[in-house]
Amino acid sequence: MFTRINNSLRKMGIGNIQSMLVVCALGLVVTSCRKDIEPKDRLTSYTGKNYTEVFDAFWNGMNTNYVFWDIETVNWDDIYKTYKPRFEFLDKHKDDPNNPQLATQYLVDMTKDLADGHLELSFNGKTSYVVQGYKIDGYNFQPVAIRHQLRGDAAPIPRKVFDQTIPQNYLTNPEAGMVGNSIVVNLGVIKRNNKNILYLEFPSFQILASYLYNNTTAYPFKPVLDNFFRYTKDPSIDGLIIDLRSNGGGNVSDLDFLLGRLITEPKHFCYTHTKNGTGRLEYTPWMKGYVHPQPAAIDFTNKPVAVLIDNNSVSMSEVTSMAVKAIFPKSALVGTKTWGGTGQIPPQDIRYLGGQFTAANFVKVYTPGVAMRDKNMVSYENKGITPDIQIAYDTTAIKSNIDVQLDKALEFVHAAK
Amino acid sequence: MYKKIVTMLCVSALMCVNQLQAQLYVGVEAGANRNYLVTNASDKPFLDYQPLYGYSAGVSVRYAFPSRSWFGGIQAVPTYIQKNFKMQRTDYYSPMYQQSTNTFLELPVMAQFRFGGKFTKHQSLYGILNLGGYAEYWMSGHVKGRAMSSMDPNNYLPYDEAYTFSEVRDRRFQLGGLAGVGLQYMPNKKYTFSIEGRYTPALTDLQKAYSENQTPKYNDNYSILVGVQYQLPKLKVKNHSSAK
Repeated sequence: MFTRINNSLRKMGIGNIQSMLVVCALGLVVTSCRKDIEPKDRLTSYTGKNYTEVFDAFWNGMNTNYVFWDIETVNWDDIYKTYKPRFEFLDKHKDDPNNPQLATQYLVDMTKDLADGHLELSFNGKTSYVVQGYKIDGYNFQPVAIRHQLRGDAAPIPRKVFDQTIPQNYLTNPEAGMVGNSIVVNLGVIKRNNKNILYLEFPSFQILASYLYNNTTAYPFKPVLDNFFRYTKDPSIDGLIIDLRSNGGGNVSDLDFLLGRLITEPKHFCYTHTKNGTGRLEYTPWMKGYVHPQPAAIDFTNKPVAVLIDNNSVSMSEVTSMAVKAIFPKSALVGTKTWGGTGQIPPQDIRYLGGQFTAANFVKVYTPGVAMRDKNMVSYENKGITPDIQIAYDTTAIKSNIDVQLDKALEFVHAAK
Repeated sequence: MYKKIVTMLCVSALMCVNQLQAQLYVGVEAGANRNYLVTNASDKPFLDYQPLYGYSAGVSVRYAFPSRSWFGGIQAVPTYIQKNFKMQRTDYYSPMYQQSTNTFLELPVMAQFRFGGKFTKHQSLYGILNLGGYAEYWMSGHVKGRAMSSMDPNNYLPYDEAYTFSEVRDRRFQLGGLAGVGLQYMPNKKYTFSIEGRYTPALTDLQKAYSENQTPKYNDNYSILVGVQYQLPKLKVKNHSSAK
């Protein structure tokens, strides 16, 4: 038969059957070698009709939205292999009343070692789970916070120290601004050996928002910060201490608002990148981050600046510490190692293709959409920033109104030339 | 999979090489292409992958068997080729994009089948069908784009820099198929001019299999190529057929 076909092809001028066989075989090879490309569901399309879907939404959400896979030590594929069957098992035993609890525990186990210093899972209701043998009750799970507690990190410094001890024992003409019933900014000048050192403290980075909107109390915020800016222009001010101990972070816009008043040209201090595609390791290139000068700014870069930090200084406190180190030649970080959560959290994940999301209406995942490294491309995520001058908070000395960390910062600023 | 391709190429060569005499042509080939990244981004909102143009230039070497006019021979074309694509955010996010310019050193190997023939005493015009495959090495990449700057949320920050390869993520050695159709004009026995439309689908993922549930990414490349070849002095090849 082949001969007959061959002859027919020859008559057609096409050659012999061999050529046709080659054509067919090659065609088959080409069309059969690719993997199937199947459409994937958006994270928002998982409704949570079963636990397998909860797992899929959570695992895929972390896989695509989490920004620290490039430094992560947890093997997320091993997590997939271990936990997918467990969630499927829950679906096979639908009537077990312990299922929500078990699903929560699995999610905790999946994430307890992740590096992200901001990561927090919020569950639909109060639940309990176990981490390293300790039972924890609550609505949320913040892996790094639990790890810090378990390793015995110090609790945040009480507000009383910032609102009373320091103003009463260190500051000349102390000023405080309040939002509601809480003091949200402390300002004053510390006089040491004929030098005037400006001191500024605030518990979180809500500075711009407070400056603009929260000025209805008897002690409004705005005049205090206006005085701070006025002091920075005063030639009699010899240096600055920014106290970020136990500061939980806040808005990135505060960086320009605060430090942008102390510089007259943009200052590069960090690199950031975001997710940039569908894959786990797809990112934008690292892009330079700047502090931008603001209107009415002055050049404060010739004066010494100290930043007080501790193990509860997180997020914008760490970003500000990085920025101060990069901007001011005569600067030092004083205190103890910071928290180690330098990512930034956009309000939703659509714009950045990463960051926080909700998985199948079962768990809300709070995680940064932007990863950050310092000017030298060093990542502090899950490591913390080690201060230039290390000194622990002294709980005994503070009872005698002595803040040994503040004293050390004063010593640095006083000695800096 | 790779073995299949290599085997098919060898088989096709062997099936055709029962020739009497062989001729070697060398030349150059260049052209423009449009590259499509075949993947799926349906899980990410307002994100499209779009094709981009690139170019290629190569040195062609064809081992021809003039006694079989239907068979143009076996051809290899070491080629420098760009395979570019764009990731474009859409709607509100349209200022954000990334244009990827990727250069490969490619070795396409193909069997050439011809239809038609002489239309004057010295001139010939053939329709050609090239079939084969290629191997290539991803030499370099460049990314140009615009992304949100978290340090200045009201502005988009541009970037324009070399692509940084990842040992874990990027598969730099690629294999693919090849199919092309075109015209081949021979004004005399020495020179061959050709124009060809060529389709080169990648068969290997641009990414290594580094994660579960990974969406593959393949380059699909459509080229328009023009080439010229010069016939080197004839080679005498002895085999069973020629001994008879």
